Amino acid sequence: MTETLLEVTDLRTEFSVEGGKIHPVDGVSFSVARGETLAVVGESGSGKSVTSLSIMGLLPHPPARISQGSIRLRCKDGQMRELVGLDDHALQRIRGNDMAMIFQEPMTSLNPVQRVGAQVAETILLHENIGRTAAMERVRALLNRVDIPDPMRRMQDYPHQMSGGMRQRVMIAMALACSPGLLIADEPTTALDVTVQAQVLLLMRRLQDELGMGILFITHNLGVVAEVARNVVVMYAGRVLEQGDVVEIFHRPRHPYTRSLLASLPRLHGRSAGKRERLAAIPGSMPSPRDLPPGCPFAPRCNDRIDACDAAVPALVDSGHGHLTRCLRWQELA
Amino acid sequence: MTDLLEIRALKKNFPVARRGVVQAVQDVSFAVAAGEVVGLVGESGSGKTTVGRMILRLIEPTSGEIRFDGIDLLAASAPEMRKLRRRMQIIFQDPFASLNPTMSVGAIVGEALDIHGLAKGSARTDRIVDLLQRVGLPAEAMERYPHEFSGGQRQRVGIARALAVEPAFIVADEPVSALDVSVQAQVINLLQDLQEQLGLALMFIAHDLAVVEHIADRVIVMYLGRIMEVAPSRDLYRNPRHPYTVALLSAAPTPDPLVRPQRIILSGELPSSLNPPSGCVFRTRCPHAVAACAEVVPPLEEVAPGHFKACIRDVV
Repeated sequence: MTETLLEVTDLRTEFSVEGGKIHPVDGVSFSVARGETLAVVGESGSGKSVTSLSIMGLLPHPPARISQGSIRLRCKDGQMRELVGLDDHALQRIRGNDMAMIFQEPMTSLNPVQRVGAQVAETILLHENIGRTAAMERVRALLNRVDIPDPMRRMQDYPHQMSGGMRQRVMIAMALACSPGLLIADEPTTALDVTVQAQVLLLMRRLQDELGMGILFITHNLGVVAEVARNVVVMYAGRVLEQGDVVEIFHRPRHPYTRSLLASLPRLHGRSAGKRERLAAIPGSMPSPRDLPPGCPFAPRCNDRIDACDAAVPALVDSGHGHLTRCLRWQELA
Repeated sequence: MTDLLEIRALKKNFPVARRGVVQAVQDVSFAVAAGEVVGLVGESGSGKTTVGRMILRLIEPTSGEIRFDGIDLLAASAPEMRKLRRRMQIIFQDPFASLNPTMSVGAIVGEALDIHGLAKGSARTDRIVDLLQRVGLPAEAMERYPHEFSGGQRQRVGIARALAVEPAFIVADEPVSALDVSVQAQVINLLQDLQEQLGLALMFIAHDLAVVEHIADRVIVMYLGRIMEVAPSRDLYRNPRHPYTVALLSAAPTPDPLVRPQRIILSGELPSSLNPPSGCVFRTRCPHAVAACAEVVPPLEEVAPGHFKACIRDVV
């Protein structure tokens, strides 16, 4: 059994809003092992990004607060530490050092008026007691490691002088600067063209093999999930609806939402001769966290809904081999 | 089928202060038949959006010819152009940015009717309700404002506005890219139904290859301002002939963990359109490039019925 790096248990994140409290993340549990990629997949409003920001401790407080559950991270000393309840100062020492994050749009996370070399060096200087020259040498090696050609020259660039793909490589270099055990990647290739996405995914996989990082990969793209993940968490309206091994999720989906989502995708080479077919669309849209249905959050859009689905939120149950599903009817529908 | 739209040698240069000229679109020619769905695919910098906007003259071409129903758009007078505008419409990627937030949905759809003097009074209201129902929105939507709708519903409003003037041709520029997966399929189905019911010609611009395969009869692949390949949808996806198309198709992730496609990873970066490579613009990243690729711009040549490629090599 590989060593667990991150263990999230029954996480609930609360936001105070006008007229009450909402829970964009409610009762989420999963773990990430060393060298493993866990994908959290969901559409907008599913709670996938709030989950990652809760782990990083990057949600503004107030209005946000982790109101329940635990987030334990293996730190460099080998110990699992509880992150919920840590103060900002303690979290700051852990961020960048034991876990790091990359975002969808590197342009908004990079300082536009500082050269990229200096920005990467800053992360190193913040966490390690080394001199500027040594730090710059480390930056050169890091940029080289993420396949940025001519790193000595590119260190002098400002972010706007780089392409989107190069900027994401800089972000990855920055995230890896202090060799964190866990990398959280929130839609890291969504803003990139498909050929550049292929380059960046390949790079991430290579670095994971070399460094043994655990990766928590947040995305809406099912194609990317199939490609990068070993385990998958499917989120909808703040809840985990299904969770398990990637082959299980794609080939034996147990939840009607996962099934409908996979069926609604147009597929490459999916079209038979000349004929144009209709896609199996899911009617309606995801409920807002302010206005959740009383029972299963997917029930209002579900073809298999029965009255019992509206009575209470179904429990997340093991349908076998650690494949979890939150559906009352999974057995009869399987 | 007769050609509704005919484009010849279309070119767009954007001058950039002190740095030269961005060659956004170079020598693009193609035709769209009445009732045909043409997919235009390419990555950032391919010029696909610029082509779409030039067709509606939202961007003025530097040179070239655009004929719609036989009329030369670039030579058309203002009144002629206004008449033509009624026959061609555009749907944008971000329905939030393209709908006036201070106008009710009824006013947004009605504006198109007013501009072209198409309906007044109760006939106007009836027509708006009819359009909204056609795109799957209730009549009450008239009184509401864009921010009250979800992304998918806003895109439906954008489609209703485009349909208001009964166009023969619609440019849809990344119409589903901003939408969630579960809503994408709804909007694709809607566009497809409307296209079939109304016999519309549709130019579907997108970067998502699977979506384009699903909806288009024919596909044009662009790279750095030029057309690389044109073919009927099925031929292009089953039997791509240009090395760029092959690489692009191989890069798309497949939603199946048991399928591991042979991926061609393109080396290097997209060249700047301020200074595109000589000869074939793709040669600097092409795994099959030879010295001759730098010499002349390869012409689009027919390699199978209706299947054209701009490549001097015969490797794929």
